This record gives sequence, C-alpha cells and structure tokens, in this order.
Amino acid sequence: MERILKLKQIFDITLGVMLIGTLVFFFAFGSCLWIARQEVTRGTDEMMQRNIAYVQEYINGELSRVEDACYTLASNTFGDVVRHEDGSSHVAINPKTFQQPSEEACYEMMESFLGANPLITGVAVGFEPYVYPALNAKFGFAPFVVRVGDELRRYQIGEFVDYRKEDWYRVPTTSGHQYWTDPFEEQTQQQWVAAFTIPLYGWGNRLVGTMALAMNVGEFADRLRKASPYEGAELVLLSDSVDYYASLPFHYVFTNSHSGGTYMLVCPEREVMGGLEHMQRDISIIGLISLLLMIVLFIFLFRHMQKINIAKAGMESELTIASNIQMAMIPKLYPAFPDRSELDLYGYLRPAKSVGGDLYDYFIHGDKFFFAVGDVSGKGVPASLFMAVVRALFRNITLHSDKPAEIASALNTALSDGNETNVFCTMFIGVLDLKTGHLSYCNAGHNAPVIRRRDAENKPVVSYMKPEVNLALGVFPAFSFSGEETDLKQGEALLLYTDGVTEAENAAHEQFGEQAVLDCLHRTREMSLLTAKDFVDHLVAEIDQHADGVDQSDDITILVVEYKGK
Amino acid sequence: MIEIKDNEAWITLSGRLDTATAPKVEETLRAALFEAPAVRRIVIDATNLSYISSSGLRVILGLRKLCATTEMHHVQKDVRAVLDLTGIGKLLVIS
Repeated sequence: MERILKLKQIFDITLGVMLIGTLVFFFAFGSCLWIARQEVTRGTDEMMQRNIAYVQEYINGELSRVEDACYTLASNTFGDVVRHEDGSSHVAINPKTFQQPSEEACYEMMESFLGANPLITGVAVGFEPYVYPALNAKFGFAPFVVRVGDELRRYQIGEFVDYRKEDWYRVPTTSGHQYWTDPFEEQTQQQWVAAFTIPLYGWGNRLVGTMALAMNVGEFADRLRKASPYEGAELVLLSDSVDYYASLPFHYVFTNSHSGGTYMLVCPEREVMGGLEHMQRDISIIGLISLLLMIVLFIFLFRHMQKINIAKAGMESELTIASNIQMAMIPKLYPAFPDRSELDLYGYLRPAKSVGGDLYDYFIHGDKFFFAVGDVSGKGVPASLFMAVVRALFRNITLHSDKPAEIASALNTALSDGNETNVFCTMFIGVLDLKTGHLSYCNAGHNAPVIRRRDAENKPVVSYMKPEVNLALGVFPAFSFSGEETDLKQGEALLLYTDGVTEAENAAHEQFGEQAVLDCLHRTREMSLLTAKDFVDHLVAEIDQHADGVDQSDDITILVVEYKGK
Repeated sequence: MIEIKDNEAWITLSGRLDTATAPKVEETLRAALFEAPAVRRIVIDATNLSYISSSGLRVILGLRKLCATTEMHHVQKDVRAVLDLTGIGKLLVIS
C-alpha cells in the first residue's frame, strides 16, 4: 500500500513536470512567434518603404512635369513666374508688355497647349470679373478646354458655376501661391483628376485670376495598387488635408508621410503574417498531438508500473516474511542463559539484503556451551536457503557429537552431497566446557577470531587467534577436519565475526580492517564498556561510522563469548 | 581465456572475479571444458587476477571438482589470503 502511495507521488511529480514542460514549450513557442512577427513586420516595413519610394518617384515626376508645363504656359502667355525661396510661386503679369488676348485667342492658346502636352487633360483659366467686363457672363470669364478622347472641347465655366468659390480658384487666390487640389471627379470625362493651380497678379499686385492644369490621377491609383503586395489591402496616398487615425486591431498599418501627403497601407494581419500564421497553427497542432501522445504514453507506463509494483510489493512482503523466518532461527534473547553465571555473550547479525547468508548459533547441552559463526558464499536468497540448511544440520549433528572437528566433518559431508552449485560455508565451531573453561574448536575456512587473554598480572591481552584453517564446508566430502584445543581462564573472551565486519567499506573503498577491530577492543576497555553487549554495540557503531552512509555490501555478524569462570 | 591441449587446460584469469563477473567466467569455462572431458590437469595463470570473492571461489572449486590436479600460478597476495583463509588453497597447487 505504501508503495502504491509512493507511485501516486511519482504520478503527481511526472504530471507536474509534464505540465511545466508544456508551459515552457508554449512560452518558448510564443516568444519565437513574437520575435518572428517582429521580423516579418520589419521586413514588410522595409518592403513598403522601397515600394513607396518607387511610386513616389513616379508620382512626383508626373506632378513636376505638370508643374513645369504650367510654368511654361504661364510665362509664355501671361508674364514672369515669380518663385520665392520657400518654394511658393505666382505669376506676375507685366502690364507694359502684356496684351490681353481676346476670348477666342484664350481658347486657341489653351487648345494648342493641350495639343502639345498629352499629359495634361484640361486647362482652365479663371479671371476676376473685372478683366473681361464686356462678356457679361453670369459669374465671370473662365475658359476651360478639356480633352475628351481625341477631341478638345471648350467650356465657359463662368456661365454656370461660381468658380471663384471652388477650391482650384479660391485656395491659390487666397494664399497667393500655387496649389495642388485634392483629386476630384471631373464631370465631363468622369475621371479622377487633380489640378495644379497658380494665381495671376497684374499691376500693383492686383489679382487677375488663376490658371489651372488638370491631370488624370487614375494612373496613380494603378501604381499604388501595384505597390501593395497584399490582396486585401490597398496602398493609398492621403493628401495633407485628410485626417487619419492609423491604428486598427489585428491589422498591419504602415504610414509614410511626405510633404505631398501620406502613404498609408492598412492590411489584415493574417495576410502579412500569412506563412507565420500557418506555422503557428501547425506547431500548435503538433505540440498538442505530442502532448496527447505523452499523456497516453504516461498513463500506459503508469498502469504498467502499477502492475510491476504490485508484483514487487508482493515479492517484498514475501522477502520480509523470509527475513523474519531467518532471524527467528538466530538466538536473540538476552541474557541468553539467565541461570548461567559462567557466561557473558552477545550476538549480532545484520544482513546486507532482506535475507543473508551469515549465521551464528549457540546453545547449552549439559555443561557444554556450543557456538558457531558461519558465512555462506554469496548473498541474498540463495545464500539464505543454504544458511538455513547449515543451521538445521548444525543443531542436528551437535546432538550426537561435542567434538568440533567431528561436527565440521559431518556438516561437510552432508552439505557436499549433491552440491552442484559449489556454494560453500565457512564456519568457526566451538565447544566450551563451562565447568573447566576448556575450549575445543574447529575452523572451517573462517576468519580467525580475536581472543582476549589475561597475562600473569591479570591484564587483558588482545590478539588474533591462529587456528588451523581446514576447508570451507560443502566443498569436498572427503576432507579430513582437524580440531584444536585451549583453556580459557576467568575473564578471557572470544570475538567471532564474519568478513562483513573487516571488509565494510566507506565511499573511498577503504576497508574497516582487522586492526580496527583490535583498536575498538582497547577503546571499549578504556570507556569501561565491559559487557559483551556494550562492546558489540560499540563495534557496530564504529563500523557504521567508518562506512559513513555507504550501503552495506556484505552481511555483518559478531558473536562475543566471555568465560566468567565457575 | 582458456586453451586446451593434450588433456591440459590452460586458463588465464585477470581483473576481479566477483559476483558480477563470476557467472560469465563460469559459463565460458564450463562450455569449453564440457567439450574436452578428458582434462587431466588444469593450470590457472592468476598473474593479473587482483581480487577474488566467494562467488569467484565457487568457480575455482568447480574446476577443482572437475580435475584433481588444479594449479594456480603467480597468485597475488590478496587472492592468496582468501584462498588460504577458506582452506580452498589446500586443494590446489599454488605458486
């Protein structure tokens, strides 16, 4: 259950990471898109600048041709063109040299001018009423010649329109200098024209009238249309007199102001960003599909993990049970023999995995104390199975023999039988006569125990025993084991252990070592840790301190037996 | 490395023979020796064998069971200590 809860945490974390990943993706994608839009806008701006420069060159060229024609006509017909430094100009008629033409002469002059200047669609000259008083027109004399197809038509505007109130006449006469009108629809031809007008002044700066040349600006519209690269937008040229507000949501707006007016392009953004919007859509779709795939994959994996985890949890609970069974084989109750004052002993076993291959065992038969420490080759479940067999055999064989060499021999024969995997068990077997302190032992390939003797002055002397090695158990059935004997005096003790103690490693792969065990014995004496349990606890603490958090790689087993005497 | 000639198997072991490497070594040796059942002498060159664990000892024991005359030459100190400690060294001719 705990495992499954942990899985839930993994689920939450993974989901969180995925969500954050998605956010990061969209943020990065959004940023890229924003930068791309800036770039596209900048590129479009540059393109529009170029396009407008072309159009402007064309338009300005056409306009200045009309202006030049106008100045030529004015100077040929009326007098000097006076140009000021600020660019303004008017026509000054010299009364001494100027011969006022007849009405007919006016028309003829205008017709011949139009014939020579195909660019100009019409010429009009509006005179103040006092100039041609004899005509007796309704509003004054304003001859107008216009090109209609191949023919030229004459009109006297003054007969039906008060031309002096119209822009083309009013503005230049009010301001005193030349003026381009806004484009307007010319009635006779039904075409869009703009007119260049210039005021005429006579003697004493008296206003005489205004001359106007009209040109077809339809061609301008064509050029502007061609300069706009987008279907949904047209480039327009706004004259200075037009107010505009150049901002529209979701639209690209480009404006470029000149003295002659403002060029302006308003275009739906999706046209400008066309490719980009496709990309945006595609990447969004790909992103969403990836996200969905990721979620599906994640859910699938999670389900799978859940199954594995349940199986694993089952296995682990079995291992826990196995571990409990194994630990139950090992005597752990202390004091072990409350009615036996001859002994102080303590055993400790900590497997590296759930179950291990180390063992220790002890019991008393009559006045004989049997004890053993063993180490099965390998670790984990296989070793633990072998260990259980060893322990059961040990208990059984000791019923019939109290001689360690015989016990080792019998164990070896039983374990070697059909041992195809060559698993073996090193073991130190001892039998201590509690009455006399006589110790017989047999070392079957195990680490030499530490022995604490008493010297003549009853001071403790600690050293490693040097027992005969014999052979590990379970290898060769025919091996002949030999035992040894010694006597323990009161206060003398044995420390048995497995190589998990001396080979405990720290992060630098330094082993705890045999000397450290001896040193620890000295230290505990100084610290007055005198009982077997105190010593073992301290030794384990020193081993753990040495390992400093590094995983225990081998089972650790310690058994201390002190003979207290009769 | 194993080489079999004239009823003798010459084996070269190097590096660490432990839980991680032993199964592979065991399988290789087993396969090679299975094809040559008449091996009378096994000679192991342990010059470059730096470490042996209990799993490694099992491999050596397996060889020793196959052939009573199993020799280990140029055994390093640490490896020698393990062989002696467990008594398995007694079963071999060690130099």
